[in-house]
Parts: sequence; structure tokens; C-alpha cells
Amino acid sequence: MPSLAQALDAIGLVTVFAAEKQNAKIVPSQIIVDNEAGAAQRVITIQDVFTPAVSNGAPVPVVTTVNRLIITVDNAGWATIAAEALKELEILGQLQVSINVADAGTIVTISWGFK
Amino acid sequence: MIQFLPTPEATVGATMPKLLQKGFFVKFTDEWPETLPYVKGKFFRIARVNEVNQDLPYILPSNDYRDVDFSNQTGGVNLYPETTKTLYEVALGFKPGNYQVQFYIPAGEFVSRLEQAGMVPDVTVVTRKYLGAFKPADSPYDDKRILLYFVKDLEPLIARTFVDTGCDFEKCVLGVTVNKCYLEEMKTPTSEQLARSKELLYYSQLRW
Repeated sequence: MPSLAQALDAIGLVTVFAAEKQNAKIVPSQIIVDNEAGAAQRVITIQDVFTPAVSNGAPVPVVTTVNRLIITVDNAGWATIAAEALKELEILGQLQVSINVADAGTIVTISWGFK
Repeated sequence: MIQFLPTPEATVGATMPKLLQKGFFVKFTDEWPETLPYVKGKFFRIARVNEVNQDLPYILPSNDYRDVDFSNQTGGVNLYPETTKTLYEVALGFKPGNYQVQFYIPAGEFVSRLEQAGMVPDVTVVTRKYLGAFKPADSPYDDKRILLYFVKDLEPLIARTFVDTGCDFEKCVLGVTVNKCYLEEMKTPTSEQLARSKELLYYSQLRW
């Protein structure tokens, strides 16, 4: 089961954790947000990015971003979300995390599997 | 032909393989059309088989559908044979999700319908969107229970894949195992071989 820790200091405020696996959904099993060294309270958003297939109602699909989970973590605080709370969270496309303000002191660790 | 294998309530005796194997017999009924003379009413022995897996994934919005064409025509997913000596036995299963599949062959002709006028599948009509629909639980990805039989130039089979309401988008993963069967015609099968054979019905026989 893959796991990755990254500081959320990307200029574009978005950090990619896993590219889309075409024939499966990504199912996060644990999310840890470490804001102990963060400069201020931060808002973290778990995002799902994909391009839908052509369908009857959408013959020209476009890249779609869906916010799946939003977490606010206090300055010098932590947030841990374990498997039990995440079991219904499914990512259809690319798993990425955005932050309201880029901050090298905010570190997110995500473990995930596939379904 | 389309065959749905229901969940067994009990198993007694030796188990049989789900898919056709080398040495098995198949019999195409006389209802197969004149346009398919290489199989119409004929009897074959399976000379060899080869299983090929494929996944067909689609992310679709809620309350919307995509018609997945299994044939080799433009826009199809190319799961039909190209030679007259080959039968494709296709096992189809679904990964879990909030979606369902209804079959048409050819496009616009429902495989499943009831006798009352108008009782045909239609995902745009609330009272008929579940009519004749197969859900992921009916044929799980790891225990495929829907079997489809394709020969060269058979009319296109369409799997209307519909994402139900209650979610924003759904990833529909159709898992396919193509059991390629090489056919050897037997002009004069014995009664025992006929009794042991699998009868392959034409689609018009399923729509009675």
C-alpha cells in the first residue's frame, strides 16, 4: 500500500500524491496533517481530479476537480484521520492536496490503496 | 447469446468450469441469420482456447449514461472475432459502484423486456430505469456471471452503462475475460455429443 509525505509548499498551492489508476479507485486509508511548524492555521483540501468519459449528456467532457475532504488545522497542531473515518472516501482520478497558503512547515502524509 | 449465471444455492458433485474448454461442444441454433452462414445451425468442437483479460473503465456523471459498443465497428471496444473459425465467449463483471448496465443488440433493441406494452428499459424514465438492469452485485469483477457469445460480423452488442443519482460522478469498471475458442466443425455429431453440447441461442430467441 503506497504512502507519501510532502510539504505543501508548492507555488500553485496544489501537491499531487497519486496519478489516476485507470481501472481502479484510489482509497485513502490514513491522512495526517502536521502543522506544528506551520506559520499559521491552514486549510487543507483533498481533491479528486479527472476527465470524465464521453457520455450521452456530456459529449465533450472537461477536466473536473472535486473537493472530497476539507480539514482545518490550527497553527502548531495535528490532524489524523484513520481508515475507519475514510472508508467511504473514494478518489476516481488523481489524488492531490491543496492548501490555502503555501507553507513549507505544513506536511501531509497520505497512505492509500486501490479498489 | 447472453447468459446470466445465478448464484448457486447449493453445489453437489464435481464442479464444472465456467468457461468453454478444449474438447467441449457447441451447437448454434437454426435461428442464427443467413448472414452468418458459417455458424447457423452448425455443430462444433472447441479445438483450443485462450483467455484474454481486459478492463473497460469509464468515469461518468450522475444520472447519465454511455453506450459501450462491444463490436469492432468505429467507436467500439473491438471485442468481436475477425475470423469465421473463432467464437468469443466473453465473461463480464463489474467493480463495485453506483451504476448499472442494460443490454441492447443491436442498438435500440432491448434484450430484456416484459410483455406489457411499453415495459422496456429506459434510464430516462423513473419507473423503468431499473428494468432489466444488471448491477455490480449481480456479476462481481472477481466472479463474473454474465456470459456473452460473439462471432464475426454479429450485430453490435451495446452495454448501456448508467450512473444512478445519489453521487456526483462514478467510476464504472467493466472487467472482461475473452475466452477465444477455435472452432472445428463436426458434420455428424453423435447423439451423446449433441446432448453434451452447449446450445448457443440467437438474440431473437432471447427476446420472446
